[in-house]
Amino acid sequence: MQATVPNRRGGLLLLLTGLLAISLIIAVNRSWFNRIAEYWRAFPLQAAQSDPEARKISRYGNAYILSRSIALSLEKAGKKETALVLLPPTSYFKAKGLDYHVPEPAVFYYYTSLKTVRPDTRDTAGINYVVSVENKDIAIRKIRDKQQLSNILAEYRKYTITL
Amino acid sequence: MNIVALLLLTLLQFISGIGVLALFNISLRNGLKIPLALLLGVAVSSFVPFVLQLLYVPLTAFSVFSALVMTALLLNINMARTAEQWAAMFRNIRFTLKLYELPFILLITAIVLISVWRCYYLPPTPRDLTSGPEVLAEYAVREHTMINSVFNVDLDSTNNPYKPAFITSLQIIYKYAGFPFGQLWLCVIFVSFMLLLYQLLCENLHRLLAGVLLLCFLAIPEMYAYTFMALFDYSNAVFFFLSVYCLTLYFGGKSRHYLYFAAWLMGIATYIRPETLVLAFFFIPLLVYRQWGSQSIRQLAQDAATFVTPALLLYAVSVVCYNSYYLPAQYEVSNLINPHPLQLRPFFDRFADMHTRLLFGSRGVSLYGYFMVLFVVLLLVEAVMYKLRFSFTARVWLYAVLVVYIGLPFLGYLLPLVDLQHSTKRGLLKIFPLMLLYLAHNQALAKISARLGRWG
Repeated sequence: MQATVPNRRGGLLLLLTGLLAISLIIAVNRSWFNRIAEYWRAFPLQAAQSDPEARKISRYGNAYILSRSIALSLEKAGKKETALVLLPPTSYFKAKGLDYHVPEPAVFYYYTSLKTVRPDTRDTAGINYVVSVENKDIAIRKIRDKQQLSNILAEYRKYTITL
Repeated sequence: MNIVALLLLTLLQFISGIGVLALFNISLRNGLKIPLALLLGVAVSSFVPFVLQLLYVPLTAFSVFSALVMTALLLNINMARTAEQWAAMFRNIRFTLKLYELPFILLITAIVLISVWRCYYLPPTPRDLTSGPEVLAEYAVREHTMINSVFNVDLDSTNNPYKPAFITSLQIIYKYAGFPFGQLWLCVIFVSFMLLLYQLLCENLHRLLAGVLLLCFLAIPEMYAYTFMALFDYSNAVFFFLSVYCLTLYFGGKSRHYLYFAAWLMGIATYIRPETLVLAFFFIPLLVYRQWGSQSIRQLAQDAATFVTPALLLYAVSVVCYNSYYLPAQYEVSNLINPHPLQLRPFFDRFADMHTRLLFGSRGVSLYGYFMVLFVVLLLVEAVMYKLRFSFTARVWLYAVLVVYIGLPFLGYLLPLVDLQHSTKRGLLKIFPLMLLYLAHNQALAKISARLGRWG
């Protein structure tokens, strides 16, 4: 028969064992707990920034900001509803010195309500605008004719197309 | 944050969940019933906008919330059974907290709150969400239909809009409730699941060990990340787990209602991620093995059919019927199946890659922490100490672990689109809660529990 430690002392022993176990778990998973601590520290800054639009900008970064600016240009010109925009791939922007991860058409539509296509699209018939980089700035041009479009497509397809 | 809307919605879901428990005649103690009812409530509400869509009812705030209230009322229509569930809940209100639990509870609560905050605060991030359910939900709120202008966009680069409506429906509800990014349904799932797991662990282990194991489980980086990045896999893992848990109750001598309930939970898991259907079939050998000798062949076949029927039905409605007859663009699921089923190489390749590139590869710890190591070590300890004499419940949990362990590479072989770095990586989330519950039945830990029990 084994002796039982009195309840209060046992409770204290369990508390100490628990604290020791927690320290051990934190030590073993240190990098994960560090990340959690970062999330914790980010809280006051995040709590001060409650506007959903600002939260999107902060989370999505350039992919959101530049996509919105493309959509805004067409909106100002009154062409957003009818536009189908050909976007070059991310690697194109990288080669031109711009940090812009191009969202795929569904995500672009989520960000901006603007319809876009990638250079590897099967249906090119409706494309009426194209985005390019000119002097390290994003430019939006209207497509004049089929020949111009096929030249641009051929150019853009030289770049690796990724998600 | 529109906290009143969130509370009312959660209450509505809770009432629906209690209705479901009453419908299946499931009787559990409060510690399990309350989180389970919340989980069921979220699942039920995920069907509401989808069913409205199937009936071509415009998805306005009024129609969605009216339908949610109607559903809660209908599920509680059997007043006698529902009243019994409520009475049992209020009859047995007990709450005990030991001093040594406090550090665990405080730390776990802090970690959970961080997740809840991020879930509320951050906009939907994973590409699988923003190119699928989230964009569909966003435009469903504007255009009052899930079959909306998103399908006029070039969708060559994604199959996400063709996935079942689980997330889309929940996002619609929470956006209408005043949360622009939706997602808070995931917090309800996460918090309820943590409560449920802690209660289940405490059933078999000392509360100190339960706290240790839950903290280790929470510290699985990939699993935790998906508690605030809304996607299908965390919810799928939860309902898959619940189905196995109800199977263990059925095997433990409970009535056939528990089998029906387990089957519907597997159905919900399939509704969330359709490939779970394949894993549901993997449980048939377990059902046959458990009942062999005590049931006729006909009854065995009946049990097996009972278990997979809800999953098959929900797959048929949410994937086959919805994609074929409702969505404007066709998405052929049959094209996704491996055209060379006799070549087994891809299965073994995927099985090997799962170990070398995910579980035990260079990214293993950053993805899954040390939980896998903990599981393997304690499994070996029990196997050696007790000469492979595992309890029956432990064997059921181990079988479920095996289903995921073999099932995921099998899915990769069957459906080449199920890739290693995304689908298998996230599919592995299903394995950890099963491992955790095996550990709750580990005899070595039970022995330590008994010793700790002498301390208090």
